Amino acid sequence: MSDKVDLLGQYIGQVLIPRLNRADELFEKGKYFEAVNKQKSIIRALYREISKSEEKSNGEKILLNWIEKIDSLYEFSPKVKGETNEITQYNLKMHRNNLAQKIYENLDWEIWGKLHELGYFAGKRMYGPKVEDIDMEKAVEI
Amino acid sequence: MQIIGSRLRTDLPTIRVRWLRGYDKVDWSKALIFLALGKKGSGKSALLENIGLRYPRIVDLFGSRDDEGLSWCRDISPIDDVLLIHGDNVDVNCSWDTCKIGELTYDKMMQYEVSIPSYSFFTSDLSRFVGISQIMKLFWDRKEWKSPVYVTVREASSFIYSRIKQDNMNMKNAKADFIFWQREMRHFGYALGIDTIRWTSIDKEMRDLADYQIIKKVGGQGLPDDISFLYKYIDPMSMARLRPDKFLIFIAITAE
Repeated sequence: MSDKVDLLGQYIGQVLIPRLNRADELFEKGKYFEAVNKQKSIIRALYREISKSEEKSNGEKILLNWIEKIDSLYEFSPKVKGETNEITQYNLKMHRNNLAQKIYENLDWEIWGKLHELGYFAGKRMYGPKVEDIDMEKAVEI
Repeated sequence: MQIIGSRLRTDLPTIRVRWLRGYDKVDWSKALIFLALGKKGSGKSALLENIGLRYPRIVDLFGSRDDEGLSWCRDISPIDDVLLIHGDNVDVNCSWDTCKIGELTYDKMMQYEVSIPSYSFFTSDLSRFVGISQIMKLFWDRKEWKSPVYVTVREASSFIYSRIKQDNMNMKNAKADFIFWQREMRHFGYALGIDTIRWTSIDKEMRDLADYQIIKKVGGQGLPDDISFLYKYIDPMSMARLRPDKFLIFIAITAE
């Protein structure tokens, strides 16, 4: 493994993965909007700072697409206190949270796919649980 | 109480999914594409048959030489309404309805819940491939639709091979033809259930067209590179040894 990849690996392992874990924690708590904002910094780092080669222009396009999606959530932010009633503020927040959940899930695939592309998984054990350890009580009929 | 063909929805074997990310209720009124990857014996065909039961009409278009398409005729199958399609110079004596390929029409197929052009009902590989090609042409006769017809292709790489052999195409053209076919079929109201044991020979573009990708036991071969990040969600060793009644399903998502 070259020094460059090692440095990249270190950056991902020490900076990005803890951020990802933090985003995951927020998501698990239902704080989708906060989780998405955490993801925003990760995807930005992945595409802007790391991808400096020939992929850059395509990466920029994908990055901008995601950033726009995340930023569009702010349109649904509750207004300054007193400007709208509490019910409207609550509805806005719930709507924003629902949108954020969808973005989070999609972006999660994007981030892990990108990490894979960068070879981060080579020789690492960043694996999910065994099939038999997955809680099937929450399974639903499709 | 929902009735699908002659079947009661509640009588069908259930398919249960634990969504690790998101939640998706499959909309059976849409012409979806299901692509199952996995080793032999991993239960791909059985799952695709089970999925097919959710659709009122099924065409078991392409199966292996051991006539696995005839599984619809088993005693345990909830379907009684079967049409066996055979070569023009073959006689089939059985209790099921039969039809010569030369006399087959789209309307005739739609009178039955399942239509099967099985391997043994043709005199040779080539005559079967020609027969399948004729059926594929009949598909375009569907000008309007309300509910999808489910078409199964068991072993996509063999299907591509059949196109090469029958139409003298090269591999590149045959794959392009298959991709085109997948894309167009949706517009004509055909849901597709495709399986393959050779997922490395299936182009990413083919996989990307699928609405649902289903991963069964992958053995030592592992997942294709572009989706190996799924290991973040499932341990690779347990993916390699999945039991036939287990599978991983995911919906391809793009940034667009």
